[in-house]
Amino acid sequence: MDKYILNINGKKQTVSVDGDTPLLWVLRDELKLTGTKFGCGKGLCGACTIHINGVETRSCQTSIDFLDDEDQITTIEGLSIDASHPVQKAWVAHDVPQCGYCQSGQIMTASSFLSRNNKPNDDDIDTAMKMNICRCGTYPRIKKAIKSAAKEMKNG
Amino acid sequence: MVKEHIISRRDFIKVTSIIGSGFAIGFNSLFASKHEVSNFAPDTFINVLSDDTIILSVAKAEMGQGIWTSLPMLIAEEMEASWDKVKVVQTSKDSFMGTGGSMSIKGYGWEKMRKSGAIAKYMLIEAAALKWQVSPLECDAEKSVVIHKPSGRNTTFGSLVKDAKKIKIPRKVILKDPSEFSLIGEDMLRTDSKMKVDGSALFAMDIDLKGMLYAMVERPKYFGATYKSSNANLIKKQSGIIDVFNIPSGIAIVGKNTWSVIKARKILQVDWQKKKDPVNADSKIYKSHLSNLVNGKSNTVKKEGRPSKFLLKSKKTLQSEYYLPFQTHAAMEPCNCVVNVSEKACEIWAGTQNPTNAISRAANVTGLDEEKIKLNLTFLGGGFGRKSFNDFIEDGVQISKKIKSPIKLIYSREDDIKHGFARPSSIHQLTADLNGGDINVWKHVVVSPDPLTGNALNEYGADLPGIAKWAVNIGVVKNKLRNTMIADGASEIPYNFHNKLIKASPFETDVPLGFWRAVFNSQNAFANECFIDEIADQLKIDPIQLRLNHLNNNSRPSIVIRKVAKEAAWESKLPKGHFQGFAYHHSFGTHVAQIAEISIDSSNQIKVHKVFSAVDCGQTVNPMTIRAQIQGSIIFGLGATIKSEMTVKNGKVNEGNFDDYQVIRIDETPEINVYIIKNQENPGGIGEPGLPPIAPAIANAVFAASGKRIRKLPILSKDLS
Repeated sequence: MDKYILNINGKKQTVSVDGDTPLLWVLRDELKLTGTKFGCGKGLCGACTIHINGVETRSCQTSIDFLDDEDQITTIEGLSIDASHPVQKAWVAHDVPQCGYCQSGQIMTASSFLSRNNKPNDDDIDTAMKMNICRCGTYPRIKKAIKSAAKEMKNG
Repeated sequence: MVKEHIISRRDFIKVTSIIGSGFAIGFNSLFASKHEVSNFAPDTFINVLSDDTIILSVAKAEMGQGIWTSLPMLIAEEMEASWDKVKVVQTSKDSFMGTGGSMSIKGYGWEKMRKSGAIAKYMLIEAAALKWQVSPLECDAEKSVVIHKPSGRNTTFGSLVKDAKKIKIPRKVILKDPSEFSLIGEDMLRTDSKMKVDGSALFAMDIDLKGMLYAMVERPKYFGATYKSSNANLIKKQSGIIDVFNIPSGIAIVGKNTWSVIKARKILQVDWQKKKDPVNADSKIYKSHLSNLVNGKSNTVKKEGRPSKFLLKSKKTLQSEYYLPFQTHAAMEPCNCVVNVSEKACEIWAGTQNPTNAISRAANVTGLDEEKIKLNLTFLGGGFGRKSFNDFIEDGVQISKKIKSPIKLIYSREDDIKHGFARPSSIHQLTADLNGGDINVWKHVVVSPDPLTGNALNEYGADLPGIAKWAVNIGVVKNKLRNTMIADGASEIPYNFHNKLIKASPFETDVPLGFWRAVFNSQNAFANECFIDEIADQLKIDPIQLRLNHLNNNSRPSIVIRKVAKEAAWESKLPKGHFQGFAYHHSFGTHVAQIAEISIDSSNQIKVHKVFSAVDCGQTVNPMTIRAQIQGSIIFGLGATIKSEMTVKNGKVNEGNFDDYQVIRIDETPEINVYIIKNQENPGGIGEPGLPPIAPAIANAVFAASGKRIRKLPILSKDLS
């Protein structure tokens, strides 16, 4: 076991874990940041998506060894204060969540993607979001919410 | 018309004060009297606080279906509560009926929640009238305020809580006429969205207890296999591992954190003793057994007219067979639970559709009385029927009991897919006598094991009596006899053919089976609605017209069918290469008609562009939820139509994760348009009825596009070449 210093949601955190531990389990088991979900363990479903330096990343496929204390890690808990990110607001306004389990991952992917492209068309949305699975089938509302979030991000 | 609703003593009701100076109303259910109040949930449905906050408790499991919004709406409507003052919490009480069968509104909330709201309103009005020394008949309530109409005096619900507690519970209440509804039938945003977008919503896997350990279970590689030997001693020495031991369902590995357990499990080697003479535990053997049974002996589930006589002498018959594969649920949240067993008590945090059964299983394992088992119902990260089986909770209880510590048990995705309770694979033989140019005889033989088949359930810890009771009580299955429930969705076909014969032929298998969204309706609707299209083609009549010919003009099925045909512009010109297919099905009290618009590309890939869906679920509660559930059911069903299939080889499930059990992603999702028929019929279910029509609608569209009849699912590109 080794000590690691991580920069999570703007705060330095120290954890003692094996170096091959995926960030997902560091977040969930050690730091109790349980908004990031375990879905498949293989990077296939996107439920564990977080941001590293603003880029959407599968935390189940990211060993703690590969990170250093310069890397800025953002989880759903740190995306905004009081769910005020345009993507979160659009998710509520469009009644997106059903069971909600995949939504942290969906929101982290969408928020990162929209920071690079605030005028997405349907194909852009499909390409960006197709690595995130939702079994409840909230995709139609995700699409609508992304479009309205994009508008707000562009204007705001 | 004013109708008085009797309040039965058995159902109701007690008035308590559990939060500060609040006025609270709860149900006197069997469950409530037996079990301890959960920490984060009051045992009452309505709590009015003196600051005007109204806390409404939901006793059904929220698994995405929006019950955290629709049940409180029913209470608030009758209570005249101001919606922006309402806070919703989960209670684990009164949930003995479980959640499933699209029954939370239909069989439960519609009566019970509205009555409880009406009682609260009655008592608040009485309290105000007494205070003001006026007749309660002169008072009314609106937006959390009681008003004395002649004088205009008014006071908020919050100001009445002390007085309301002293009012006697009425024996009768008057429920509102639908024309007076202000919440019911309106689009209301979900009450659980904010916590689901900021990561704070708690699923069982998110619960953290002091000193908690982490566990996984390695289950037998083959159905019914037993443990022979393993390298458990080596595993125990791995870093972070606390213990490795056998429990009835497999080998439990317990560690300091999840990753230690996952890593140790990778080097675990187990020798399993395969079951002697496995029963239909291979897709190939199973399928040939299905085929053999089609023409064998079967039970008659329904007979109208003289079908056998006409078929015998028929000069023009049509016969087709349809095959459906196994499907697993693959909810985004793999099965998991947190359990703390001590000598005197057992506390469980779990997302289960069947809490009563979980409690009785925990009592059996621990030897504790059921009153000592406390179950905290959390959100479910998808249920779809899988979480009505409490095998994962029993495993958690076994492990916590043995290790004498709180534990969190999680399934890997592979555990979840390989050790679930699948939708049975089935064959359907449909025969019609078309004498006289119309459907004279309709015969449907369903061949499928039922989920309550003994082998699978008894061996894999599904607890047959408990599950059977649950399924029948809450309406997951309609036909009560085990040997006829496989005909659910086949026997109630609404078309008025003169002669009908519906037969069922169940059999045993070692493949663990369960309830999958819409249960047998998903299989039987595919067979019914593909076959009627085949007949229409034979008779050279429009398939929608043929159906309408066999329905009364103003019946609910014919209204939804005509609605979707109109909205989808059936028979009108489509974009080049686009084709439509239609299907209708009635299940869980709700009528759904769908039209799918597809194209097939040069590599024989099906693209579903649009789905139009008309829905008649009677009186609507929250149309926002209805549209979400219909969209979700279509997308869930679409996966089983064009992508996913669970296969079994040599006593084990082949698939393990989302790479080989493929589900629908956003880029494959069609535009979905939902049209809700407005009427005041009794509310029907909404979580499942949107699913059954999608597979036949797409299969019928594929025929329109390619001339190929689809008689097996899923429809893969290789089937179209």
